[in-house]
Amino acid sequence: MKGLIAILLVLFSLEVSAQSKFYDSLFVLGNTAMDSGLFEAAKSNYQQIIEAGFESYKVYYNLGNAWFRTGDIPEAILNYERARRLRPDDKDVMYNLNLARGQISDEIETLPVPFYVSWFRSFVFTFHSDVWAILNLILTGTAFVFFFIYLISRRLQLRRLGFYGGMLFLFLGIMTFIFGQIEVNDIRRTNEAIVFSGTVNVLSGPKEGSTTLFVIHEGLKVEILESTGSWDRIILPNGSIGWIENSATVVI
Amino acid sequence: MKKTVLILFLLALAIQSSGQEIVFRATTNKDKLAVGDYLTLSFELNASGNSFSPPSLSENFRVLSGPNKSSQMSFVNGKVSSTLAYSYVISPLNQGNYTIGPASIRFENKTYKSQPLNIQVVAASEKKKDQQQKSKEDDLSDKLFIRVEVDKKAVYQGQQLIATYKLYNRTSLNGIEGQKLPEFNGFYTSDIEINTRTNRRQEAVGNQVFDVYTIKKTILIPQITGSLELKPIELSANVRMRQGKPINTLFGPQYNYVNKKITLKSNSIKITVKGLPAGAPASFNGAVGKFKLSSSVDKENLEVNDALNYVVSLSGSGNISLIDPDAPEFPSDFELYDPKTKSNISNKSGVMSGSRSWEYLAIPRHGGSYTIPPLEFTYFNPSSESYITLKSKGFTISVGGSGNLEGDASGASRILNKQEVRQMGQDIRYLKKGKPALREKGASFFGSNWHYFWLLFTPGALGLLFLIVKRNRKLYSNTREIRKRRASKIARNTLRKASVELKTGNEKAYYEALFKAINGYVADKLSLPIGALNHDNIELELRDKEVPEDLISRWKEVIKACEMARFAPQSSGQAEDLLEKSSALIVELENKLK
Repeated sequence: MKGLIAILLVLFSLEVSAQSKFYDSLFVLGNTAMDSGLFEAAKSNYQQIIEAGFESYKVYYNLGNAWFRTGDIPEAILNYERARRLRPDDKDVMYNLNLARGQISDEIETLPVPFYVSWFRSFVFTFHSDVWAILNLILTGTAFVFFFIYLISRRLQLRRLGFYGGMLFLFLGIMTFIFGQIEVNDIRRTNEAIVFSGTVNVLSGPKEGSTTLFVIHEGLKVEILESTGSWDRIILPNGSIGWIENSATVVI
Repeated sequence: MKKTVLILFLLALAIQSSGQEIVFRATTNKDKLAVGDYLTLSFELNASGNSFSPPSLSENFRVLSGPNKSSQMSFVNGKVSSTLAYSYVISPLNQGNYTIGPASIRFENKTYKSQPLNIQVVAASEKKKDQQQKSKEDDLSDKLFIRVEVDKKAVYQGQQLIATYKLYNRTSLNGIEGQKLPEFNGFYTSDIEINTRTNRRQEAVGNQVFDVYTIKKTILIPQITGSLELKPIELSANVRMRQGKPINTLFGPQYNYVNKKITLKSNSIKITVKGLPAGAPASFNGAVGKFKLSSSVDKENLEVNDALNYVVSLSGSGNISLIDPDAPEFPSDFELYDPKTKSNISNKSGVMSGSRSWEYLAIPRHGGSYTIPPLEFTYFNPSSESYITLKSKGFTISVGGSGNLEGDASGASRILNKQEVRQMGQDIRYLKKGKPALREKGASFFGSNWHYFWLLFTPGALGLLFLIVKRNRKLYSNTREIRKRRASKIARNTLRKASVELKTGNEKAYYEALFKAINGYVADKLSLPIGALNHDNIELELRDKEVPEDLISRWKEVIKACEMARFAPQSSGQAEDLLEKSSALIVELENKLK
């Protein structure tokens, strides 16, 4: 299965081969810099890769480590979160993210997520969206093979097998497509941000001078509900809602 | 009954001892009373006399009751003694001093006279004053109260003091109940048991004597510094009390008694707890009092993996139950187990004192000579106000045998020291290395054009394939149609050929042609390949097409006749008949196999 996926991925030539060779070497360079304690150099190496329009959870993860080592927790959290977007099941990413979160001053109790939601999420994120895509292709293809059998066969049993088999595989194919779509949407969404200003007053409205509802500090992850001009309406993991200026945050 | 009394009386007279002195006395229960009050007057003879003549009472007193005669007889050590008494209840008529004159009685022909009595009668107002005094006595706070006493009011932190709660009583106390025990916030407490038998004591407060009961006696060891308050104790006491006005009866004034519940509350006391002076040595861990420290080992020479017992014992007085000396510093080649603690502490003497011991089990894992350093223990002595450091004995232990665990033959005695992996510190996890597998930002195969292309590719390809198959099938079925359509024509041609052969007299060729005409016709009509032509197959197919049974049997007949004739020649008349049958069969089949 893995071999097949690899072959298919090579077939689809997602690796931007020629260009990315250079950035691969930048990544290795950054790792060497990290190992010898040159965190600033490592950071610039990793950032060059990202600024060139490439990404990989490894780059974000290592960049997060570099920021963590230099003591910039919000930047570390931002990069760990970005790494987590691309690879939600990686234990190291999760571990470092939790460790970094432990260093920020805000501790907010998260509202409990219903168990079926978390089960569903963890199921969807078991596979990378590309794996879902491959599964989607295989299952849908199989479904059409069955339908083909249904269409051309004269024997009643074969026709029956073709019809029901085709329906089953078509259903599975549609499900994999939905799962993949959910995952892709989750990765591409821009409704989460990390607070970068030391202290931010969360106001009751998108206007200077509104009542301060509560105060949040750097490193906290907030969800953006809507945006008006330079203002974002945010919700905290504990359910508190308020407005902040979008200059105070960086979108994940 | 009367008879017995009489007999006893006579008996008493008979054995009346002569040596006893006869006394006739007059007594009153009080010699001072108010007008309207009562007085009991009695005349008593320590023998049984007769002819009693009372003094004159009616001038100054009103006789409320009497004379009431009572006699008593007792046998003591073989001696008989008897008493005869006449009593009166009288009330004075006026105030003043009166003398009650002597009464007389006769005993054994002798007359005895009682002594005169002086009675002082005061005005009634004085009596009222007395009553006022009584109502004052309803307030019992100076007759029944609780007090807290402490032996010290200022102590050092950790220095003990004793608080004693005492109940002072001068009333008729029926019992106490419902104790609300005080809370000793900031203190370690240890109650001293109270001996209930020796609990009651007499004690003078002011110029009055009280019964004193100790309710609670507690050793307190302050744990924090500052001014600490001993909260009051509360309890309710049942007291038997007079209630209301006295009721005059013949026997004098009578009171109603009731049990009254009274809540008592002690005073509270403030204790000043001083902090311990600065400059405590490092080995000080809060011990206050006076202590002795000792240590011992059960052996000084042992083998590897043998157990060594090391006992530290601490004895003395003070907050001994609250302190632990530091664990001994064993060499690291010894495995040291948690100590077994024994303690024997009592507070009977009013001071917390006793001894505690810690028994450590240590097992050497390697051979060699080791020193167990002496143990240091520091306490604060509140009487000398100084820190005193004690040092126990150190030991030198020599361990024989090889220290190799693996080489240890007595594996059974070896205890494996397994430990869980302990988290020492926290750090982020290490870098991710290897190929970064870079992609263009936001790019993913899912949802990409390639994904959709491949998604549509399969149905597209299969659809195309289906179309091709469908066309081929159509072509194929077209050829069949043609074959079908031309079947009767071909059959007719062949039949014609057969009739020509018949005319030329070539019978064999005739039957062959006839056979070919019928079989070929059926094969074309049923779209059967020539290879699949056998009787059973054709019969099945014919049935499938719902050809009537009689037609099928006729077809069978013709075929059989043809086959027979091909190998065994028949008469020509039969041959012509068969030709007719065949053409008729073909016509009928043509109708059925449209």
